[in-house]
Amino acid sequence: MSIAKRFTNARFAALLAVVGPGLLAGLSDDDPAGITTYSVLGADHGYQLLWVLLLSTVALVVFHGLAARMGVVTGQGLIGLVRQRYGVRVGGAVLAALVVANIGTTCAEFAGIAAGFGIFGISRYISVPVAAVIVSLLVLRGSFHRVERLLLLLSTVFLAYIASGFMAHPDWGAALQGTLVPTMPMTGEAIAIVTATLGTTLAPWGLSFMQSYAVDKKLRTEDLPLERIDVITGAVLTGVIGFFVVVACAATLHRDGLHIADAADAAVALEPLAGRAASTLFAIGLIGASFLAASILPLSTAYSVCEYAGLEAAIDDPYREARTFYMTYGIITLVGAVIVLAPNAPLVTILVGTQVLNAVLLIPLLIAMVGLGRDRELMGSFASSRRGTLMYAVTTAAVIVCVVTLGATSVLG
Amino acid sequence: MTAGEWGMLIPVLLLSGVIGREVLGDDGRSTGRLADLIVRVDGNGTPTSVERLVIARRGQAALLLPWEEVAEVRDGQLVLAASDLTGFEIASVSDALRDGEILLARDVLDTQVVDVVGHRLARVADVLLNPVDAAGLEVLGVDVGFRGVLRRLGLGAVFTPAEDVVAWADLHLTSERGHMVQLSAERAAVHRVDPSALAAVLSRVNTDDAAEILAVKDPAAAAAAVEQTHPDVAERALRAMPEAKAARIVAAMSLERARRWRDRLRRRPFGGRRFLRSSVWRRPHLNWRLP
Repeated sequence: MSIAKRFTNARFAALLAVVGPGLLAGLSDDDPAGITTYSVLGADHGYQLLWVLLLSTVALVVFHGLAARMGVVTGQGLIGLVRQRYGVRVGGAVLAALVVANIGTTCAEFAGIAAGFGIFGISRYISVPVAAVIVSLLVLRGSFHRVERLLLLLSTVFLAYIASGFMAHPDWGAALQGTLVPTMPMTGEAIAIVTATLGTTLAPWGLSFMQSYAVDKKLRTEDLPLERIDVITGAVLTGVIGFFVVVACAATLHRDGLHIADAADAAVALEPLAGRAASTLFAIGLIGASFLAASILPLSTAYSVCEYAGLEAAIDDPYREARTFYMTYGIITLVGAVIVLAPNAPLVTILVGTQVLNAVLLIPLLIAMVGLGRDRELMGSFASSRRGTLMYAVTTAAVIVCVVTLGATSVLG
Repeated sequence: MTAGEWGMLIPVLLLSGVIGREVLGDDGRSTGRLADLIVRVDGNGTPTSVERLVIARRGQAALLLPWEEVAEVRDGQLVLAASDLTGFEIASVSDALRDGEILLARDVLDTQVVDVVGHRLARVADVLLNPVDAAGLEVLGVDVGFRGVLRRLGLGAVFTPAEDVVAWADLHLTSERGHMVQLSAERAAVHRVDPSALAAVLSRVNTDDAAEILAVKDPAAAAAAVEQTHPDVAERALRAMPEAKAARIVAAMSLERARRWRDRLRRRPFGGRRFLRSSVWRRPHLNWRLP
């Protein structure tokens, strides 16, 4: 083997040892809520709004990269840093909002599991409890790397969307044009779906997960260049999967003028248009996406609670040393599953309220991250440069505009 | 420390109770709000006492005063001996800090610390101060319990001797400045403790900090600590150091141990990182010993 090749192999292996945080944090953003948004985007507007996914991918790269850098340099998660820098009151308020939003989002993931299995005729009273038990056992029993391997393996179900996109026989020329040439109809509905796509790609729980997980993985500053590749890969894959979901819906539902309300609708509606296989793959993708996000949400919440309480814990800690961590994980999973199964729970209100809370919470979190990232006392020589800070500020401003516009369009109807 | 021992030290003043309060001049008028207190980690006197204070003023430059300017501490409120404070203005607190000095609110409060004696990582809920007499404010230790957080949120009871407190001398600070200052301070915890306590610190700070701690110890002391640390943690730290320094530490071990460590460090599968091997990342358990 030549020296150059051996070097390349060593680099590649080192990269494999570092990947994980960016991939998992990115892909879990393609959760049922994300897939629903993409499906509606494709079904209602065809290929025209695909360029939005490029923008959301850039936002993911920018902020997940910052979260990873902050975690690696400070050795602390986001909520821990917020408490250190802004005190117990601000930290406590952010944590409280985050926990409520995360419980709501966990409900959304379990609702996705229920809807996905529902397509195959499996009752939610079986699928949801079984999923909750599997998700809990995964983290309670597994070591860090076993958990990471299983989650990465689970992420491969997203390939189902890519296959489903191909089976829909899309017009690739139109898809490419829609991706690269930004145009949009100036209707309230189009503005709402564009801002929803941009404003919900970045999620508070995704950001806090990204940072805590990079800490738990014990990445070091010398891993940062490789971690950057991980973040970019995760964000690009997230965008690519979104692309194929939109394409699948655009080539079928949009062509026939069908409207859908959520991702499960899309899977069912695909069957007569693109064949049973495409529909089944779409449903499997939905279930896998829900599972992945349903594992990551309680994990993200458990990290955040422990960071705030000063009882930092890791997946590798045994139960007796990390009770708060595992109790938080268990309670969030349980509450999420119970709400989805409760016969009279106002599920739609909870899901809409959660989206609003996530969007509102995102603004202070992004501003805090920009402030923390440029703080030399925390970040030393890894603090954001003036240009970097400008880039973060511009991205934050874009997200804020989206969130505010989304709020305005939904209030004004 | 037990509740009884702390009982001897009460009454204490809590940092969260003094930060942000108005500082009065000798004429009774406010000069600004107390922004931070400065202590020297390796000062001349033991115990550690507050040496300087930072006063923030609305729309004006901050003030940095020596503690001697404080006439008295009245129920947690500082009263200065003068009211003319020209000459104490500073442009930046960070630039005004001398070697060995840290800020209690910025570098200690709400940061992570390693309790060297209790072998754990914790977050500081409050700093305990003891006004010994009019001229001094002594730093006793830090409260790391969650009750301290609740108290600051206004949800908990007052301070009692039963709080979860770590003595100042038993701490290793992990904040950027705290860690660096303690590394260069002779009397800081990392330089006084036995190898097993040092091993506990190495296991709880991040890899780069652990490597820095090992690098400033003399090779024999570092080798003793490495032998008491979980091999995976020690391996990460040794790999993060310049090779020559790591080699000196290994050379200070017994022949057999040194040979095993050289073998271990020579194996660099996958560029020094083992892909998907949980053993590299497993967290150490408290009473771990080499087999």
